[in-house]
Amino acid sequence: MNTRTYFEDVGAWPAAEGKPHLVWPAYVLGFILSLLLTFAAYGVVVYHVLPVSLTYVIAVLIGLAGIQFLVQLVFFFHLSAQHAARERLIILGGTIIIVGILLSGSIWIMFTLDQRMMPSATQMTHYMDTQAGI
Amino acid sequence: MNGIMNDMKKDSTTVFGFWVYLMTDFVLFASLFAVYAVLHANTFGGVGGKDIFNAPFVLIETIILLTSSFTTGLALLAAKAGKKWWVLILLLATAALGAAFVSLEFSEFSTLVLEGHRWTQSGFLSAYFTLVGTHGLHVLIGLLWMVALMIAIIRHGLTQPNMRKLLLFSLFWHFLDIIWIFIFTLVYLFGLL
Repeated sequence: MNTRTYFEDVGAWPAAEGKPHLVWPAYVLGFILSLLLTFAAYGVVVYHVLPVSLTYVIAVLIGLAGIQFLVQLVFFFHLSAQHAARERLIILGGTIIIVGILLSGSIWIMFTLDQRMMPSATQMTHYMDTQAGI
Repeated sequence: MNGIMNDMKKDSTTVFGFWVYLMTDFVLFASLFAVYAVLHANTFGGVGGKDIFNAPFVLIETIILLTSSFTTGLALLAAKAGKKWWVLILLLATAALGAAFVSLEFSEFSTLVLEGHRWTQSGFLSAYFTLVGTHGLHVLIGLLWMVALMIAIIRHGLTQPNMRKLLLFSLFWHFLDIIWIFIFTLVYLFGLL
């Protein structure tokens, strides 16, 4: 076992074939970008740096979190399209689909429950009274 | 030589298996996020996120956890260079930052409980304590793991099993950082809007 190449040998880091390994700048860059994205999100909420409506602020915050997610995957987890990382990418993709269904499905169902409820007897009578021809 | 190659193959399978575990943990956190999303407005006449979240406090927690993720990365680079003591120093720094994070979270929780905002108070507080507490528990387990890892490295040096443990730990720690980013945004920042 060679400590110099161990992380590459087990497929955790991209193998350096010919060109020098760029893991050191990746950590520094990932750290700086993560801090900047965190400060940006904080500034949007606490100092209201964006004079836009609440809906846009929410979209911006989700966008910033999404970018930070990608930044950390690339710079801290060293994920790439390389062969060793591909199987990890595939299972990550599948998990993101499950997580998406879980989150959007829960929110959608729980916040539209009223539309799927059977109306009460009084509501039903009122409905029939107001509908012509019933 | 063949034996070494087989060991590498075994380790790369272990790394993949650990990755699969992290993905199941990701689904666990997603369920807790879904519960929080559904219950966050049910304050039962009690406090909401705006009343109890302290923005600068949470920002400090976030910076601490981000920095600890960075020092983990540096520990891996030190291990790559074969510098055993640098690995230990950087792991110690990571552990100190992790301990600072856990104690900040503990003080946040104990303040809430002492002010009477317990998890039994409302759906919002139940979901909040469960989601943030589960993350905190993961960080605590990471701290114990780090102690065991440092002892193993002191005793045996940067052997292959220790390199593997260090790599798996780094994945775990970066993963907790990512989960925290979503807690920071979806729980704290959304709560402060």
